[in-house]
Amino acid sequence: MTSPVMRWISLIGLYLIIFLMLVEWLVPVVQLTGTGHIGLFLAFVILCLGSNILELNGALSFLMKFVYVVWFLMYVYMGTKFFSVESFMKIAEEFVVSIRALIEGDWNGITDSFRSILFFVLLWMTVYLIHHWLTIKHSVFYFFLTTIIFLCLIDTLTNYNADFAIIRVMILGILLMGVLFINRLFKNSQVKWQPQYYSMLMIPLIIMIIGSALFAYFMPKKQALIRTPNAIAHLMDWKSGQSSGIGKIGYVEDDSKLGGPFEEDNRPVFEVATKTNQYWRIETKNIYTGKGWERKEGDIYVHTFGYGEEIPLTLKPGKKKYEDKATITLKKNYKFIMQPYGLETIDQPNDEKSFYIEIDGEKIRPTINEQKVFLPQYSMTYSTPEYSLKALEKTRNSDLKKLSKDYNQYLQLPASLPKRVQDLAVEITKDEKNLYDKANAIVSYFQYNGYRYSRTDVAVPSKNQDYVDQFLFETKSGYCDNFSTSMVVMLRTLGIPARWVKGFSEGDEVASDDDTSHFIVTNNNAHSWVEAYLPGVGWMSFEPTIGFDGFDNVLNDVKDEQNEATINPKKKENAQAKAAEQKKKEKQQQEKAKKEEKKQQQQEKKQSQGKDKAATSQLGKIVSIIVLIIILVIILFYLTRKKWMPKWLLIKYRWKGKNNILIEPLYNDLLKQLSLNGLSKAHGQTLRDFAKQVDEKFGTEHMSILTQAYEETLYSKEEPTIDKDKMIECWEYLINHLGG
Amino acid sequence: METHDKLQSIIQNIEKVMIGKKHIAELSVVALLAEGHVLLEDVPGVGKTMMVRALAKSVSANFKRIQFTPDLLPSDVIGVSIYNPKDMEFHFRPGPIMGNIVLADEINRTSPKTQSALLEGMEEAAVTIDGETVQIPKPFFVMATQNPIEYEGTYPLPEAQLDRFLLKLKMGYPSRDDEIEVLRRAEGIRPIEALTAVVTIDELKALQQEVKTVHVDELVKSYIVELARATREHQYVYLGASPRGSIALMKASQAYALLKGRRYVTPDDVQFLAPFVFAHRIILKPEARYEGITPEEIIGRVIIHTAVPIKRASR
Repeated sequence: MTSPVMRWISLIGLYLIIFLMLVEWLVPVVQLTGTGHIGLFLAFVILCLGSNILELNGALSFLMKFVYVVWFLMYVYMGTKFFSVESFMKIAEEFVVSIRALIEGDWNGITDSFRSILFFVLLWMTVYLIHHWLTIKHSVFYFFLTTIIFLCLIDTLTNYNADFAIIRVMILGILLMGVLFINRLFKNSQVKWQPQYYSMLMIPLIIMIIGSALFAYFMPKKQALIRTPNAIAHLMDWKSGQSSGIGKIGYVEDDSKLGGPFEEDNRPVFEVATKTNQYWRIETKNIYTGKGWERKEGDIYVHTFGYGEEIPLTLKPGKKKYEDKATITLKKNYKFIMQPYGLETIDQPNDEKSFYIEIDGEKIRPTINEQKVFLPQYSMTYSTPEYSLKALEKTRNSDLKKLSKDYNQYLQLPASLPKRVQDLAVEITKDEKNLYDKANAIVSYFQYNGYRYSRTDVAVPSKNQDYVDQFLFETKSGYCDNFSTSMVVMLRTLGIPARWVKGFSEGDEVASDDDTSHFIVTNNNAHSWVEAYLPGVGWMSFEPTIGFDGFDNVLNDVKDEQNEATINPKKKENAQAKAAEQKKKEKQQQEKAKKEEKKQQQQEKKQSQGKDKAATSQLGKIVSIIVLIIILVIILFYLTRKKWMPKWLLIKYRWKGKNNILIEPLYNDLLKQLSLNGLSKAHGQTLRDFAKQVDEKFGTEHMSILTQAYEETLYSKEEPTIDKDKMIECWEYLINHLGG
Repeated sequence: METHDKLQSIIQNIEKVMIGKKHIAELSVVALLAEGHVLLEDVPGVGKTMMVRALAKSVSANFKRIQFTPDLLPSDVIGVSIYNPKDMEFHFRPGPIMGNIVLADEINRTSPKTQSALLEGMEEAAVTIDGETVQIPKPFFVMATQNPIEYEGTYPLPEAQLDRFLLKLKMGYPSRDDEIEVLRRAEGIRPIEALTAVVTIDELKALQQEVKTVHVDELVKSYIVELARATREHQYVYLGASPRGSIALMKASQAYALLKGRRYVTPDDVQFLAPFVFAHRIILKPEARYEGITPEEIIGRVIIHTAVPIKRASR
């Protein structure tokens, strides 16, 4: 009586393996989609598997699963731990809404609860399919294969690291197939199921699996040939446009996960009317996590002010004589102010609104009754700050020690930051005496050391990788976020307080009258840069990103011969001209006009290049996806040829017409199909023998008749004596019995 | 088909006498049609002689029998010239070889000298006596029997001479039921006496000609050659089938196809006949003999491993 009990135990063992393999499916899916509640999903899988093992009555198991799903929805979406009619009604309502949205093709209208239902149904079906494979077919090869393929794809195309998952699945899958094979052996050879026989087969199997797994694990491995960072996010973004925050350029609040490529987006964000073009600051961020930037958690402290009142910014305006006005017209309903450098007051439209500035990030928000609102148009007064070169040259390392504790937040670094980042920063700046030159040395470093500006070829750091470290030492290719974040981090490693600034770059000049120029700032101008605190001077902005001109904010108050190497390192060539500029005002204006023009040209060029690049890379993506799909389809067709080939052949020969059919291809195609169906002719077997074998299998004489006809054409000189109609009839009979 | 009917009637005729030995009858007819000779190897008393006599009677041929003994002289086989004092001349007295169907019984019990006289006659279809060549009348069909060589007092036939025989057959004991049937028939008049000829000598000659017209496709020819070559290359074979062996297999296959009512040879015919044609033509290495492997087994393996041509190479 041991047999049924043991059999049951072995079945439980099989289901345990299946369960562990399903976990390998669920974990990445739940993790990548951010679904959560993995435990509850796994519990559902256990419920499905359990009801299969216990061979519960269909209706009962359905009821159990249904109740579980309803409870899940109530618990997760309604927050009720127990059944309540109210939440049930709510869920039912959401269900109806989703169904309606589904019918109308409104994918965004589908509620999360409905998505969960669909996911449950999918799980349910998967378990059922596996149960079918396991108990009826005694073969789970397809499940095993798809699991492996799934993990490979997930590992290649997303951030999910499936290194160990693959090993686990390999071991589980081979074990599963081995056990099933042993079960089939018992079944087919009619041997009585006995524990000692079973263990005789199981022990070598387990030793083999462990041995081969260890062998494979310890063998040296080649590095991956292609790096495809987060291609899924990439694809999703490419497909769905603005659905994900990553991927499309523009201002986004969340910077906690930087990296990944960007798409061009030249929709306008705002228009500016002002005298000079400049960067538009929105906010700063202070906490670097190793993956991106985050805000301090907890309460946000704000300072409120009204129209015309002085704004308490840490970056002080310049001298009054540079005072300027700017009018911003927003095209997107951003509920914050675009700040020019040196912002003093917000003047217009002087309505009932007031403002507050968030102390930690200096983001300014218009409010009515403490609710943030959208201010479509406003004008501001600002004075572009200027820094004395003399003062800048006096900044010393020793001054940093005297800084108050308030600046510690600008020195924050994650513990996981690799040491080599600091080593590099020290190496770059070791020859510079003052802090200003140190900062400029970092800016210059990016220009001359093989770094590349790219919006498409941008990696996302993997789980254990630092964003800055990856950019500085591995990829060396990225956009403003990479450069600015790297510079902030490097400054911080040197002890120089620094923060990360977000906003927009200058934009394109579209028109200008006497005193005012009009600029359009688009999503493409979304930008990030650096502000560093230099003791004795204050906060100062830096532009490390390659291809951006940066700030002209240093007042050249040192003698001409000395200042060449200083000022903005991006404009060394202009330094001298600029020195002369100061003396000759006329020339200055000409120069400026020229420069503007050049800048504009450069920008246009840059943009068009970017667009071209984006277009080609998108084409490449489409082509590679199509190729991938074609390959997959071919593989699928090849694998299932057993099923569809007979049908296709039938159609092919019928279409050919009776008179054009030659027996040779006809017969050889049949042989091929028979062989696909496990009836292959042995090497030394004659056709006649083989035909007998086939006929026995199908219980007919059709194959022998057909074979005789074929033999006659093959071995004799004369035409076959068998009627063609009869031949085709036999052939069709046989081919119809295949594949079906 | 008339040919087919004639051949089948021969088989049926033989079957009246020989019980449960249809394939031996068929193979004997194959050899007869292919103008070859048969070596029947088996212990005494299993019906070798009866087989030959039945065949001879069925074709109304001149039947001769030579019982080989250790003291038999070549002249006892091929004949002798005797001086006739009456007309003072030598007269040729033909020996028993001068028949249409000759039964050479227990061929391995006579001296090699006498054996070679018979074998030469089989090969040449003529004998030479006192410098004079005398043709043996056609059709000429020798059916030699021999005891298995393990028996005492035998002179094994030289291996090179064995390939004079188209086929080497083994009778084997009848099955239990067949043997009972044999006994039952032996009670009454011996059925061999009641046999009548179903084919005349001329008809037989015509049939032999017809065999030569049976189509052997290039594919089948190449298959025969592949088989022969495979026997030569086999690891256990010291001497494989010769080109003469290939020819023999083709001819036998043609005859067999005709017997089966076909005008073309199929690989099935070749496969069926290969053991009977090749087994006595290959010499095994000593190690094969120690392992108890027989030539028939080797040929079976060769057949399994040689691809049957089922497609034209190009068309």
